[in-house]
Amino acid sequence: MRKVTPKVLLIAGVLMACSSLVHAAGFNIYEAGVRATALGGAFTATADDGSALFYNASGMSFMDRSSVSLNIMPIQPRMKFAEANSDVTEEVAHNTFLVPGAYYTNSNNEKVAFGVGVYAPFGLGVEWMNPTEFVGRQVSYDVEIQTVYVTPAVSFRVADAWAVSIGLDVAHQALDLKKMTLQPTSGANAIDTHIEGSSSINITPSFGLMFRPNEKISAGLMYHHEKTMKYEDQDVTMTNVMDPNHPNYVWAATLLAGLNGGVPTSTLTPTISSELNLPSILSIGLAYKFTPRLALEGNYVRFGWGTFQSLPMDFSVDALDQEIHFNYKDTWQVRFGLDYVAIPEKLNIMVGYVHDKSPQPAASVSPILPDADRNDYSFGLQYKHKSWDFTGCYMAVIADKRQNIENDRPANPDPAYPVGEYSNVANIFGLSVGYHF
Amino acid sequence: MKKLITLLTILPVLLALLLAGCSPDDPSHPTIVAPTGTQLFANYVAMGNSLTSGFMDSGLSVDGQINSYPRLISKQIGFSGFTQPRVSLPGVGSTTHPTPGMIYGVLHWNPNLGTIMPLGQAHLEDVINPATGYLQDLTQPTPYHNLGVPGALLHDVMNAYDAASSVRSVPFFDFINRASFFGNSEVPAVPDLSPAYQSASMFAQTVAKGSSLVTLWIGNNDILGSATSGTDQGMTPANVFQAEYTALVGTLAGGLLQRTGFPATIVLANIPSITSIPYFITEATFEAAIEGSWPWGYEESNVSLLTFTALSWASDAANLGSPVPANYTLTTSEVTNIETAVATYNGIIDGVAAAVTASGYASVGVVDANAAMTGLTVPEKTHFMLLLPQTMGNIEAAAAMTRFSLDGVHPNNHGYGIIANLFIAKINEMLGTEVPEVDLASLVWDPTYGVEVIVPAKTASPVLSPAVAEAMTAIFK
Repeated sequence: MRKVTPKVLLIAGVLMACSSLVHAAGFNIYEAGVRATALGGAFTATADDGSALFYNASGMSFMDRSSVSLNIMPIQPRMKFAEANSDVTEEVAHNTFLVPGAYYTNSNNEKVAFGVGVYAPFGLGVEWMNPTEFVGRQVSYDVEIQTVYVTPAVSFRVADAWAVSIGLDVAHQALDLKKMTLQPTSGANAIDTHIEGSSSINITPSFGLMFRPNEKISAGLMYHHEKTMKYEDQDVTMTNVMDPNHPNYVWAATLLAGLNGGVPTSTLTPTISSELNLPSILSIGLAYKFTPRLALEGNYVRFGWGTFQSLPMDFSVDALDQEIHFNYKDTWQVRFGLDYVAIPEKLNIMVGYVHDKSPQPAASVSPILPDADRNDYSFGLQYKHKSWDFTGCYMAVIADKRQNIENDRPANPDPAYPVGEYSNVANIFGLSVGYHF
Repeated sequence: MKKLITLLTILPVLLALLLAGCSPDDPSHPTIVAPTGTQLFANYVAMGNSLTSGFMDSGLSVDGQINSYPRLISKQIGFSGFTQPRVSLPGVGSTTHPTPGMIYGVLHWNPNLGTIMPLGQAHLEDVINPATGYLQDLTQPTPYHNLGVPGALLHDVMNAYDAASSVRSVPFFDFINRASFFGNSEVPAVPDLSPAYQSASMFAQTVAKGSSLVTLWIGNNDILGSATSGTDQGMTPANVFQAEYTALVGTLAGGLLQRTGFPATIVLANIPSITSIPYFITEATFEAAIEGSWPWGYEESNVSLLTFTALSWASDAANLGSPVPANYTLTTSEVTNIETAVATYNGIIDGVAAAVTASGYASVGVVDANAAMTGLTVPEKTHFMLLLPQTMGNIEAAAAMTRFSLDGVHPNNHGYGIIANLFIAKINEMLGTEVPEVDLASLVWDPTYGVEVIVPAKTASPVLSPAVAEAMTAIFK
């Protein structure tokens, strides 16, 4: 049995450190592997590369070689917002976010296989253009959430057709939220608040199960437990951005001084503690090979988003305490992937489709995260050469238009929340290289 | 086969290039409709004077504010976010303290001394120091929902932003409007809505809150200040009242429409007759209280009403031998002129409500406070102190009979409940809602403020000191 090499851990560490802004058209990023993404994420019953560490670690027990693989997935979210009863239209900045993935598997058809993966299954990045004028800037004009999982897992081949796995999801999260407080009587930009936090490490279990009774059928189950990411005494910067000549400047100055114990200041730096819950993920998959070269897999994925109810913000200055309510509900996705071996041992062609139900009620559709039901379409190619494989994919994420309106009235009565219709798509590209030994 | 493979290889690449960088469809601008019914309750603001602020027993304190009619309304409509400028006990009263830098709190009935007197006192420095929390909500970053300012005149609603800028230099403007906190500047006139206004005024703060439901009860002090001084002079002239009331309600409707995009619901209340309040007493009542006629008569002839404070004057031995001064009496013609002014004001209020509603800028209704107050029974509009002999000194019984507090002008808890129910009935009528009425039986007024009874006071000849008499009228001057 081979051991995890220091080099692999080094690569994982580097990726974790530089995992830049992550984003998909939602809070979850199911795109942990390029081949899996090309198959629409329908990979629980296949799980035949390093990304099995996320999709179903039991797949390691059916791999005949160890492997190292690196993924990089540029994501381009594009989002617009049209305000109700007005002609105001807003748009997010045209950013490209990079979602990393790195995997090592040690699997040689032995009783026990193991591996470790680094990936980013949850993330968010919504930066609105024109932050000083954006209609939703009181809620947020720029938010980023980055979540990195390091999952070591071990898989046991309990029988010829059966494998079970257990892993630990070691997670770290960073949160960055920028919002603007307006002076209440004039509506002028007054206090620019920047919350920047880094969570403590959270560890929860994950499980997998794989059943392959014959060459044609494969069934799998994957489960990642829910998490609570805790933030303690993180940085907050509140800056008075009003023009000192503005007739209402005294409001911002007095407010900051009041929060600062009566001492005038243009910048207040309290701390914040918070907790952000991440949902459990359960996937059940079934794959069938129609011919030795053509396989179809379908997955039903259940997200325990009901755990994501609110984001409490406990500041060191009690007067600032607040809670952002999300009130998500548990939801599901269906995923399908078609894998065609165009040239045996050389070239695979893959396509996929996803229908993704939003967990978000209309009342919490906001500039932080305007989610919607989505249909994703994907395809990709995998080229193999000796011990190497190279994979590329593209996924178009097409979200339904979403309004935060119910019965012709704002779903959220808070006037800080802009009311209107959101429209968004995301282009996801993926490139990976794998080495088998 | 090779061609097929080549095609399958190239096609995805071409599609990827084609789709890369694609943008979402432009979202359409949806339409939201005006709030109706209970949806209007999401943002309620109250404008007015002392009657709106919860002023009771000649002062402002949490004991009165907790039962201010706007707060009672907010509870009944389920608006939990309603805020007021709460003042800790003993409150901020109207009685002048002999020591500079000190203030008296609200009045109370002292059961041991058998008199009305201030509940307590405080250092002015402590009152205005945010650190003491005496003014509990001084640093609230948003305007209060109850913007009623004791002593406010109609003119003040759009123009006063602090004590100095108010017509009668009323200090309550300083800590309710908080211009020193919000800043203030004169806002240029809105096109088609001509009056300019101060940005920290009661009016501007209401518009800034984007209120969907507004109650406005203003104009009482434009009359009462004269009446409580025993004269019909100095009232706001009817033509001025007409102009300012029209400008206020019209601009309020237009401002809220501009701010929210939808017409607001505005509920006005008219001005009660001065004969409806215990502060004014008949000659018979006066004579009953002093146990006989005043032998030296009155300075004015044809006296119709006396002020309650005349009892204090009459109890002063130094005044024996002098006729009751004119500032304690209202003649028949003065009462007629004042009542005419009330009727004129109320006609203006009705006319403005109809005109603004017709404009479509807002839906405006009028609570007939005048009719409701006139309809009170005699005991209900009799001063507590005059009821005590009738109840053989039973404080609870006398307190339960009257609807007015110790100052004789402002309602007590029960009285504010009656007013809240008048507004609620009008709101239900205008919006088709079924907001339940306030349970009046639950609003028990304790004029002793919980002061322990050690030695029961004599029930006969209750005393009204000159200082207290001054407190009862100070708010109108």
